[in-house]
Amino acid sequence: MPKIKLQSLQSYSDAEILYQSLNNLDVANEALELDCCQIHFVDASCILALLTVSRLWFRWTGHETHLVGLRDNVHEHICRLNLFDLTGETLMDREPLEYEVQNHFGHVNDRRIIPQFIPSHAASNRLVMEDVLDAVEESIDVWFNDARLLRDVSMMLSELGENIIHSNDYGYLLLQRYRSRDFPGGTRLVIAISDLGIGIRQSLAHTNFIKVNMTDSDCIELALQHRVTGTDENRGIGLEEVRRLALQSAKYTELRIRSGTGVLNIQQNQVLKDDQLAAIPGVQITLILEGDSGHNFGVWA
Amino acid sequence: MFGHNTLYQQILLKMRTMITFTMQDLAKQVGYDGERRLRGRELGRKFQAGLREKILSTSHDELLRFDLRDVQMMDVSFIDELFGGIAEARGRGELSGAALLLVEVDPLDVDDIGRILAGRPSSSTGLRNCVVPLAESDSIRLLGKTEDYVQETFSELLQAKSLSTSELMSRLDLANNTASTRLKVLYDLGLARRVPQTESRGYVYHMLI
Repeated sequence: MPKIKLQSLQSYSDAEILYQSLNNLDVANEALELDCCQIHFVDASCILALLTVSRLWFRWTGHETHLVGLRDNVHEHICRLNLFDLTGETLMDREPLEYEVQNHFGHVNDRRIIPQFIPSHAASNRLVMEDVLDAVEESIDVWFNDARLLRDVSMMLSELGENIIHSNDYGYLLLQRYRSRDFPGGTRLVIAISDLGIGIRQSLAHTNFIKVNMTDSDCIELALQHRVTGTDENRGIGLEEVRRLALQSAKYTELRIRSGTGVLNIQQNQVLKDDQLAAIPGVQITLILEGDSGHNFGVWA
Repeated sequence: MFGHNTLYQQILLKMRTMITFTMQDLAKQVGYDGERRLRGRELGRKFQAGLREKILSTSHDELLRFDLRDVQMMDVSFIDELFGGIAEARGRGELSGAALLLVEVDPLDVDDIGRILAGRPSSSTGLRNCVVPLAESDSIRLLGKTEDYVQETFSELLQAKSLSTSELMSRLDLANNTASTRLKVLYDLGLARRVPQTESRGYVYHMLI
């Protein structure tokens, strides 16, 4: 049975290792086993990476993915998220999950927002997205009590969610909050969104902006510019707005957009690019917002 | 003379007719009873079509007050389609009809509308003015981007409340045709209303409120 031993699922870097491991595997007509013995905590970006890997493995082989050796707390976490039981799933009203993770990450709140966006069903996906935004706003309100942050996050998700709504393939969204000794005094909000659609390069293919020798990270950078992703319909201010909102929303912001083999990582005002990643279809976005402890989250709070 | 004045006042009175409508009214008009949040380009285009219809079907003499106090949330794509689309059509001279004035807008939405409209000319070839007026306290502010002379003329009209070509000529030391063109540009952009002068050719231009 093909097997991947997971060392850690604590950040998007770990998600990248998982993607790379998947790419290095010989595809076999069997279930995929993910060894989770070492896992204490699953970051939102990694949860979506697990979903993506599972979906891709099923697409390639017709077989499922098994999580093996889950610790109790991670098991409970994942069970409550119903990660691999997505068929027919709809967003359910549920209290935010809170649990202890080996005294390292403090309290972790997850909002189970892995709704079933149905490929090519934009009308019903819009309704699902409305439920998602309700849940997100409720969580932000409870967690941070910050009206401006609530509005900014809602706007960002609204823009980012459009890709999923109109995607011809599966899309996921997860909101997570936690504190960690890794960022003293800081509360971290992680928003992870991914879809398995055509990706940014292909979505730019109909425009005049894309050049033959552009890398995937060049394409992502291009997509962040005003109106580049649109032509006659004047589309394409969404990502630019997300970047602007992210930078104004918190004391520390990181926006990471991954598509194909490229990634663009915007940390505060610094932009980092890489094009040596494993090839994964669609777009994977991780937005990290950090503020002070307690409710003093945003720069304007 | 007395007769002329009476007629003039009647016209002025008629000019000041205002029609107030809300986003909910517009939603009803376009047959939308969906989510509370207004999101996405598709929906924005639908609302833009409804707003165009309202503008075109309303007399030039009237003022459309678009009251946004009932808006829970508009995302930037929706704003770009609805307000950007209308402002660009005005800026290109493709949309005439009644002037539109935004009222009771959330300050954060004001920022978004202004920024999105201001960014539109940079990516839309040939578009120089992309603007909608906003009622604020007892004054009117322009959201978006205008050429300097448009802003200058608007400020003069805002101060004077009403101006003829000759009055603008003397206030800004302009040639007749320049002053006339400037005032007409305001009118075409939906930033002023006008009535024919009773004693000569031309118009008297009036501030929206």
